[in-house]
Amino acid sequence: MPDKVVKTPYPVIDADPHFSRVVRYFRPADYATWAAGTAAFPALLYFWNMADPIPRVRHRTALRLGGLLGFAGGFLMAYQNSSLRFWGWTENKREEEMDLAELRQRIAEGKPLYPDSTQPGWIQDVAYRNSVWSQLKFQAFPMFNFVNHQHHGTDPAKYGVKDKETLE
Amino acid sequence: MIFISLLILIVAIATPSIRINLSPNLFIRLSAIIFIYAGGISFNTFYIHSIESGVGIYSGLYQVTAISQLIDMLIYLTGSLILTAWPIFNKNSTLEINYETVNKTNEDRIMNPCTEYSLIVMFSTLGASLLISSADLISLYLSIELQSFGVYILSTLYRDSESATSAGLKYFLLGGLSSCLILLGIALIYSYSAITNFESLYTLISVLYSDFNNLSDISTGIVYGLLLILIGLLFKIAAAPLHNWAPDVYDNSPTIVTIWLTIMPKISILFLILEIINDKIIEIKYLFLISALLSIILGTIVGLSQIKIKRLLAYSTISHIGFMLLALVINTIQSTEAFIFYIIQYTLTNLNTFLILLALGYTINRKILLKNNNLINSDITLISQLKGQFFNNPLLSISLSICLFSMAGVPPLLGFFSKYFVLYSAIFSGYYLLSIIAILGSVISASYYLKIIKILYTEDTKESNIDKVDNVNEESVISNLHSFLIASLTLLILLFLFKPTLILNSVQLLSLSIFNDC
Repeated sequence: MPDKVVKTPYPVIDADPHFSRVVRYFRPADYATWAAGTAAFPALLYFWNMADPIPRVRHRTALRLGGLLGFAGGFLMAYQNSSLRFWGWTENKREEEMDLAELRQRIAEGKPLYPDSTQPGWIQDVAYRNSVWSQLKFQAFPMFNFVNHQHHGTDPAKYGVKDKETLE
Repeated sequence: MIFISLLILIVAIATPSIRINLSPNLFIRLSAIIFIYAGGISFNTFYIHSIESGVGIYSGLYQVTAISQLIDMLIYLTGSLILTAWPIFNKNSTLEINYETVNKTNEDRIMNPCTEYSLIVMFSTLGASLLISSADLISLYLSIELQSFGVYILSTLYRDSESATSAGLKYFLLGGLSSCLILLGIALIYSYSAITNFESLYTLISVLYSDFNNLSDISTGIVYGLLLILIGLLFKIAAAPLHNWAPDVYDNSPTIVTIWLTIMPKISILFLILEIINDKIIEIKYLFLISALLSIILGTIVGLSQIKIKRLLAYSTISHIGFMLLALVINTIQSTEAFIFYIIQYTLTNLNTFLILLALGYTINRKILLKNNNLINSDITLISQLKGQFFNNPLLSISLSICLFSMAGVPPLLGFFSKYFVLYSAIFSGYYLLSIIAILGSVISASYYLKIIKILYTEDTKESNIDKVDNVNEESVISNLHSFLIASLTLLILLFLFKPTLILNSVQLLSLSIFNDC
């Protein structure tokens, strides 16, 4: 599958960021989205019951289950928001600076730009092809990137990487 | 979201402590909110400028385009609205959990079709959502089967009903046949070209058809393969002459299931056809022209002799499919715009019509519904059952009349504009004969819609007055949200004229996004 070049209004930080990186780069607004998503589900259920009461039915279990579903939905939305900034689709100044600082620090410490994976190269490639852009279909199926592959769509030189050997 | 929710709900149903404390009505509401969340997540990534012509996901098996994101939203929103149509039963009903009644087993609760319904529609919607994103013949087949299996089971949801079971079996067998055709088409394409990816297939077709005088065996194989796939898809959307199953299945299934069958699979499959249609291949064009023509004619003529309301609406659907296929076959920016607008209009109008029919059924057969606790017994089957309903349920009758006028294409309702756009693009592209037939079809079909309206406003015998008095004093079985939805959708159909820009501009942008890639 050839890599799709997408025109983005902001600089690309990472075309397919690792799960932990996406979560680490959450803004307070993302946590607020997550919390709002968690709360909104049972709230909707509660207000629906106010509009159309179901007689003699306890709602405690349904509200808890709704909270769990809302927790999942809120997380997916927050994850999407963070990923959109990594892709450069939304404003990402803060993340750009964090990314530069983090990866330059790794270079300074003599580590590879992105963490190494224990998986063979072809598995990393498969993982990349499966997870890239998958956030756009979170409404149906969640597919996160849990593999430290080397496909990130950025120029290593901007982090101070001199040549290919430094990367490895 | 849908996949995670399905896992959570399946575990929840399997857990006794949760199962005991979860009412089927609440389960339906949970599912409806899940759909709203899925629609919200879809909207969250609706970036037309960045997505542009689309990006491949899951190793290129699927793709996300601006259209697929918008249709995802439409599908989830519609799914959520359909789920609100379930009635709230009173305390004597077995659908409602009475916690103080100890002799009621858990199995009774979980066997409630209400619970199964919401789980199955989630599976089916997952298939529909994946189907509109398919970018490969393999993913197309898997998604269409995921969607279809859901609706087969859905139509046999009421296992005790002979008519529902026979409808489900018929749907399953004929659906299986159409799946076989699709699979055969895929096999043909693969055997001739060793390709399953849509993008590669388009490229190959463009190369092969660049010189019409030098078409090879490969192009023949691909053409026949594509024709078989499209025939299978036309079968699934009940386009004429492959429509025979639809009136029987729609009529014999409970209305709460029919509402799903007439809307959801059609949206996804029609958008899939929009994605795979290729105007370079003349055979495909002819196939769609014939199907559009027959759908309009048969949907109109055969609908005239119907005495059952759901059969009539099934033929009305076939006629609408004809208009949509006509828009598809023209394949210009204008016609694509008309096609997207027609689907949105069809979804809203059909949804409202069935919501009203359900509400009328709950009201007319209130006692049967509460006594037998079986939705299929509360359904309106014959058009004559609607006689004099204006005097019992004036608001519902007026709403139904507005929907039927809209379906007939009476200005200034929503349905008029959709037919107008399709006909305008057809005339603009030189399809004069088809346009005249479509106009005649639309005029003739107006007579069967008017027949229903006439029956609604014809005063019935004294019985209706007695019922009216009874209904005033009794608590309604129609939920407030159900009533609110009917009111909102009716107003949307009625007042579209005053604020048309939102929908029109959106469909124009989407249409342009398709043609900008070419």
